[in-house]
Amino acid sequence: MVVKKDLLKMKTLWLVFLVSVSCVEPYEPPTIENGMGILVMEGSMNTGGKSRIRLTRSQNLSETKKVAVELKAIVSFEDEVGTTFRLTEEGGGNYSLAPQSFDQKKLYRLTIKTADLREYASAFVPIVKTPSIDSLTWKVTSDNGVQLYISTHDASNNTRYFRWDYEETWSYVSAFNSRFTWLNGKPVLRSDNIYNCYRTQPSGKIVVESTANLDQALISKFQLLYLGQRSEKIRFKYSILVKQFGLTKEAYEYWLQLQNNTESLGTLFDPQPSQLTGNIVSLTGASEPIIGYFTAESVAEQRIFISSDVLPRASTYITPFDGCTADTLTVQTITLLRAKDLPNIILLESLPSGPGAITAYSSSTSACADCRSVGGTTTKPDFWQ
Amino acid sequence: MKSVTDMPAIKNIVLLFLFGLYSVHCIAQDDKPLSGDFKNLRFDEFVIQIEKNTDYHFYYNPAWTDSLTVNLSVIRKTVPDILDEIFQSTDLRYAVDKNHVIYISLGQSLMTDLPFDFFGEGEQGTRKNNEQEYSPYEEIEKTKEEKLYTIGFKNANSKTTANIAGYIRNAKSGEGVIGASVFIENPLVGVASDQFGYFSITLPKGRHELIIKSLEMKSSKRQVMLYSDGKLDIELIEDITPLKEVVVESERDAQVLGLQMGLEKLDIKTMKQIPVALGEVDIFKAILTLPGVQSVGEGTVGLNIRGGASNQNLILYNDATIFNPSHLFGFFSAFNPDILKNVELYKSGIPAEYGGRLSAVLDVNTREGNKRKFTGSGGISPVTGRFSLEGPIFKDKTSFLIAGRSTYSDWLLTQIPSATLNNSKASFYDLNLAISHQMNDKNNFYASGYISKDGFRLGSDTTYKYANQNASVKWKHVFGNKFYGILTGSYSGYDYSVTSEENPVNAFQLAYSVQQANLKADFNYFLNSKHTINFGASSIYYKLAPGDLQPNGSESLVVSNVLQKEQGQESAIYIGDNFEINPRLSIYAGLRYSLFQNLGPKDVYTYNPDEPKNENNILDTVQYEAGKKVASYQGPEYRFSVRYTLSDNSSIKFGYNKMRQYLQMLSNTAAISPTDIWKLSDSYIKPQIGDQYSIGYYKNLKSMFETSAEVYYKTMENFLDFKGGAKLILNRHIETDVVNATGKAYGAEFMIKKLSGKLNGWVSYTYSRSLLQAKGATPSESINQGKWYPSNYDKPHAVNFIGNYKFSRRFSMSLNMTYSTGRPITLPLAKYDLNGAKRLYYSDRNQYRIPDYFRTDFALNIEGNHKIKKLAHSSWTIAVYNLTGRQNAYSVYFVSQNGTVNGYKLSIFGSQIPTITYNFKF
Repeated sequence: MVVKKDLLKMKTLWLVFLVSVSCVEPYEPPTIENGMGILVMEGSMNTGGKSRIRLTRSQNLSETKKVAVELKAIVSFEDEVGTTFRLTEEGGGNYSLAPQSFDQKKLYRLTIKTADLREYASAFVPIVKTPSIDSLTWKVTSDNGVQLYISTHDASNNTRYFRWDYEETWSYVSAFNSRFTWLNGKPVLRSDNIYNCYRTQPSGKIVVESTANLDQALISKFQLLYLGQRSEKIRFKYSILVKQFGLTKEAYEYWLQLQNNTESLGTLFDPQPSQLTGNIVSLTGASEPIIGYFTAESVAEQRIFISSDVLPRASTYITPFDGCTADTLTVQTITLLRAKDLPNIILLESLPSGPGAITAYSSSTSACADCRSVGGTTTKPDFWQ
Repeated sequence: MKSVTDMPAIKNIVLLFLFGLYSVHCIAQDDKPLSGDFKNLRFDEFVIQIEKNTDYHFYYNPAWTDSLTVNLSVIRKTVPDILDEIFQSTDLRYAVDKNHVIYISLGQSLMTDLPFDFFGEGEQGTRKNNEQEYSPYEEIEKTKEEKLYTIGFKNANSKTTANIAGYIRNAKSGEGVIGASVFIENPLVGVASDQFGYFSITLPKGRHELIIKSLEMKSSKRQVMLYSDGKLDIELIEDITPLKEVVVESERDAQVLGLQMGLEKLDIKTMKQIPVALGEVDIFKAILTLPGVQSVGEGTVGLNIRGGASNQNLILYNDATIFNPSHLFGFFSAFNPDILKNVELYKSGIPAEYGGRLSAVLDVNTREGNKRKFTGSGGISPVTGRFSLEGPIFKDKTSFLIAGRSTYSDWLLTQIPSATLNNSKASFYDLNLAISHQMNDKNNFYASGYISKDGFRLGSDTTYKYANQNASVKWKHVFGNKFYGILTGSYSGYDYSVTSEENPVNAFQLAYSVQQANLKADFNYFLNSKHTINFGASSIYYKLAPGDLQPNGSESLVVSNVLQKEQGQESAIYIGDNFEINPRLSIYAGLRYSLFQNLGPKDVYTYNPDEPKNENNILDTVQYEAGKKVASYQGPEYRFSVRYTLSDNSSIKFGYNKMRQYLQMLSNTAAISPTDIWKLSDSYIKPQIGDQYSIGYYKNLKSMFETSAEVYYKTMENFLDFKGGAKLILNRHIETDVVNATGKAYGAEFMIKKLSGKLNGWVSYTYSRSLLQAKGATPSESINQGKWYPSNYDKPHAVNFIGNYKFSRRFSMSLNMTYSTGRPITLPLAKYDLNGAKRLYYSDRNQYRIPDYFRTDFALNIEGNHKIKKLAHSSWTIAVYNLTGRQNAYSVYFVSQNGTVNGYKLSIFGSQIPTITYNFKF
């Protein structure tokens, strides 16, 4: 540790100052008593379509593994008189329910019984009618970026609070197009395409808005998100699917607080964090926290596409492949390569590029030449136009 | 060598007077005592009689004595004694030379011998240096203690009591001595001198032995014959390093007999004995060893007194408010120890003259400066250097004191072989100037100025700067023996700036400032032996610039953001009465009435009343014009104390006080940090109101140990805490980010002190809790679901031990041990996925604690030799801070690294810190 090393020097120098004598040691915060972590619930009861609930577990802060999912749980929606709708497990912690005709006047709750027989239930919540999205529009801003807007309204003025969740998809390319691949340690022409990919990303953001201060439940051109001119997302083609949820006032408060609870960790300008759980409680051990807020509503959706040919072009785009370089491997060098090194070496083009016998190949790493390395897929999504 | 006897003319005497020569009386050694009656004689008749019967000869101006009548009967008294009696309640002074010539002068007595080589004739004289056991001062002191001072005139009135008032001064410097006890033992009647050294005591007429005791000073006494109201100025001799701590007795008396409870007085000597880190005497570190006083961690100056927040303490420095009392992020207190006169901390029973903060009052006063000769002092420690100089401008009339302190830490940092530290900068300085002028017996003026500046950059490109500026002017006017008033004007300013240059695109400068101007008048009226009344009025004008963000450099894309200034006015009137019902029972009752107005220009948002206050619920903006009242709050503040003496050495006390605070600090850190902002009460932020009840039992054991037990209960209304996700800097609508909490604090403090003998010190245990509750209408306006939760500085158990052992007058050793429960923190406990993003799950607020705190310090003090006459007194302090090297946690923080969140514990003083400090005084 740097500071400690300084400390020794300082002692010998016999200079005394706060910087020198301070020291930093790892600190292990107390962990949640339940070794499995806290149950985390995502999703809602969709009164106009397929409902999805996802159950996962929280992790200790130093955990590096993937999030643990909750399997074999019994997940149900239940109304006040005890009518239950059991969700079916889809695997990966996902549970779903085909569209149902729920009674709009009734209150509903979520019940969960985990494989270890712990039971949880949310508070009873009313069904909120989500009005449809009036428009999802965009415009080029003065700095050549793209600003997206959403507008909606509820003519009955019943639904006052809104949340939006969105999923962005864009096509992109890796740093270099690979035309060759390995077969038994020898370069051969590539048949698949690892240059063009599609990447889909959930928003990860909480976007809420209230119309409580307005005469009408009207949202006009709410600034949903902004894309900078050099964003890779709008280099070729970009698509966004926006889901709109109507909220009760309590649910709005929850999301607003969650929005304020940032992931930053106490620098000068960071806000104070607070504990936030939601409206689900344990029926077996009252003190056990459960994260998540159960709501019941219809969901309004809209997808739009933005093609780069209608946008001002940027000279460069910020991509995950910035800083990638290509190498040259002579045919002779290739024979010296060990088999286990090969998967990480992607051959690009044969050299010389003109006619003549191949003497070398340009090459790069899979992180630079394989577009899938940054999390995308080469499969074109169903909805892609 | 010539003597005044060669110049009998009064004219010449006056001339000498103008030269400012001065001496205390010289006493003829071979006096024959006289007996006889001097009835209704004019002074000139008296002189004739004396000259006839003795070999004394008088020189005087008849104009000065024509109204003086001598009415005495003496039995075996010397002429000087008789004169003392006659002149006691007059301004006349006299001096006697070796030829028994008496010179009578007005105001000051003459010197009958010129100083050596006054006329510059070289070493013709043979005046020998006195090689005596006693210093000249002590010699005179002995005589003064035995002499009988007659005060007032016989048969002046038929009252049975009379008043003596005057100043207690340091004989060497002429400065007033604060907090000296002046008392008679039978019946036990006593008072303490005020901040100017002024005292006023009402006693039964007749002969008394007046005892004067003070910390720092040698105890003294005066024989007085009290006939009617009169004046008596008393000079005390400084006790350089007493082996026998006589002074302690006076404190002991004060503890049991004083009316005030929850008052802690610290003198610089006690502070010097407490070992400190980085080699500087620090008043805050000293205060932290007292029961009921805590801080959130090492290297912070914020004091949490009896469960109050650090901003709930009124810190006065020569009557001007100090907003940030720290240097180097709290590693040093902002006060130069060399020039401090006294420090008083009121934890409860706060008198009515103080107001504006909820928890406690810390009154720090600097010395006035030596009125008689030039002296200086200074010190060198591993990190800082300091120097002060003081002396008379006009001898015995006007004095100055100038002091500076700075650090050479910048230089130290560049010496360290580490790139990070080389790039770091840390520096501070402070400057003090004080002028004290005694115009005449009735009027005194005091002026004081203070500047402190800090700059700080640690291994990054963000620079913090902050500065305090203070000035105060005081005029004390004595209307009469029993009545005086003080008019004080003061200015306090605090500002900070944060400058970032790390990335030219994001470079910014953030500035903040708070200023206040204060005018107040305080009056003290010693009505009679039973009642002392004080009353007064004050008004403070505030101006705050809550935030100003500007781009730094031409490349910066930071958008300038300037928050609207805030103005306010806080006024108060008060009256208090100290009433001694009988020798066993005393009460103090006070009332303060305060009024606060937040003033325009100001834009105030209005919120949807049915919705929680947040940005989305802003309905409208109301604009107030300049000077218009935006919001107004007022109310009475009651102050009450009772003391009942159970026996000669035990008493029980009760105190109650109500406080109102209109200026609060918002901090997103647990400690006082330079970026904390102060906020005036406004339409939404209500003033804090606090009530404290305390009860204490005090007992002295075997005249050696002083024990005390105090219990308190405190409530706080409108305490500000922050919502989850609150943003405090550059927030235009801070009301949306704070919650109105209710606070309660309670605790018990136990202390045993041994202040005399070779081994002295104290041990204290404090149990205290400080809890808050925020129960709003909606979940976002509540904290921890509306349940009580510990405040940031709730540390239930604290044990302090301070021990000093004196091997001799020159060597002493001290040991300091501190234990306390770790402070509460909010921890992230887990991470989870939601909507495709990682989020942290935090504990309820303040549900965890950092590890307990324990520290031991050791110091060895070596005083120079104690010859009275030497060029400079010097002392060495060798100290080891954190002797056991325990790595006490200052804070725990988390850093997100490669997808995992790792916790770290920061210890500021994680090992032994040896320091050596050299102090000098000349």
